[in-house]
Amino acid sequence: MREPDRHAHFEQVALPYLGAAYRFARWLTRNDHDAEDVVQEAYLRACKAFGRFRGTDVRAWLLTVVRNTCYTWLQKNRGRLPTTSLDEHLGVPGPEAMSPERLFWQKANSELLHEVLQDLPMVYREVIVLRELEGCSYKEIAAIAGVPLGTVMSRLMRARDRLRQALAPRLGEEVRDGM
Amino acid sequence: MECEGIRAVLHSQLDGELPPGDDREVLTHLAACADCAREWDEVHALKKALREALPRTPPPPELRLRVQTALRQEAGKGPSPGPWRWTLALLLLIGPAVGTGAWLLVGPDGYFSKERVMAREVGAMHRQSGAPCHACGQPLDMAARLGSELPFRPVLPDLGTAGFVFLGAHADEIGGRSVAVCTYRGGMDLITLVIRQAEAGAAEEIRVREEQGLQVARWSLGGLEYWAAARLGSTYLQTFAELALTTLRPCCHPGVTPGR
Repeated sequence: MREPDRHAHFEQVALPYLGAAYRFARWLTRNDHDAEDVVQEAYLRACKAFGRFRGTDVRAWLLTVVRNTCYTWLQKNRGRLPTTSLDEHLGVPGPEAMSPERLFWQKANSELLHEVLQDLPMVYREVIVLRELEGCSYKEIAAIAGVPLGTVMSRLMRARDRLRQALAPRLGEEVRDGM
Repeated sequence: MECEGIRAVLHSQLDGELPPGDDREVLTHLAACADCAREWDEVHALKKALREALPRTPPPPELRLRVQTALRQEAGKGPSPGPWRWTLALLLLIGPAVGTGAWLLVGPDGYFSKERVMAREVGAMHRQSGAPCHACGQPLDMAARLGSELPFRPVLPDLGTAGFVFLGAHADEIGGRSVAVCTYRGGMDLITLVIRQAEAGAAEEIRVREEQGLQVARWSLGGLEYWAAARLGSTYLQTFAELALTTLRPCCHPGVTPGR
């Protein structure tokens, strides 16, 4: 394929996923402007690598590039890489630590959810965002995050446990305050 | 399946990732186990809350344009000129035998002529306009604001009614000289307009040339020089330049203050 055709084809197949790329980058960088920089850089990188792309799932491939760009960007600009939490190996307290009242979940407003999700370690945040907001399958998440399927499953479980742990006391407060 | 086993696959079941046989087994267990059913309920509620409460934020409208512009600039990038010392060494080696070639490089319209160097600098400014560090405002306000940062007061054309939207401006420097850098949007394309104090004898008429894959137009008026760069067709950029020049003429723009 000629160079101009390849660029045009890339724009045609990759730009429809700009929203997914932006949201993913936004959750990873936790900053709108940084997310825009990362997305632009990721699209440039993806365009350069497009000639070598042999798969069919452009969205998963693009999100992989966005993720890698985010990690590089964070390392360069904020001097730290997100790491796998020790909890991943040691386990986290079980769901018994949270409030049993299911009613509380209905009180979980978007601001509160947003806040607790922002506070999750990156490896957990990314699986939640990919699964719940972008609707990616386990297989796609495994490809994007570059980990085995089993790790996707365990990270999702731990991520949700952490969210429930973080939400439970605060929802309890809200309910008590509301009384 | 025991409760421990159920907990291990409960998330996969809720995510619709279990094969049908295993799915049935989990549902059968849930029907008989209150603890696991409660766990299922809570994770289900969390998933639902996340999906409902967290917005699928659309990207800002200008991001698409910014990414497209960056991609097209990348696609249109020509080979960059080699370092000066190589050019110089080459000139020394081949010397007078290639006088004609040298003329093409350093002649009045050669590669290293003032005009073309400035055109490339303006082009480079334009390539950075994907991430402008602009202050925003109306052209007149911005002109006043930039006037306090620059050794001259720039006059920024307001071409909104002609379909060229003013996006912002900032003070910068090219080759040690202060410039005002403005960005406009025409349709889906960005136009960078660089304004500096005019050199003696600068021609008023508009001249458009292509430099490294970009169209660059220049003209001067009232002691100021204007350089516009874009990836537009030359006719379109000529239109932008003509409109700008018309708007900037004192008869149309009473606020013109050329230089301090």
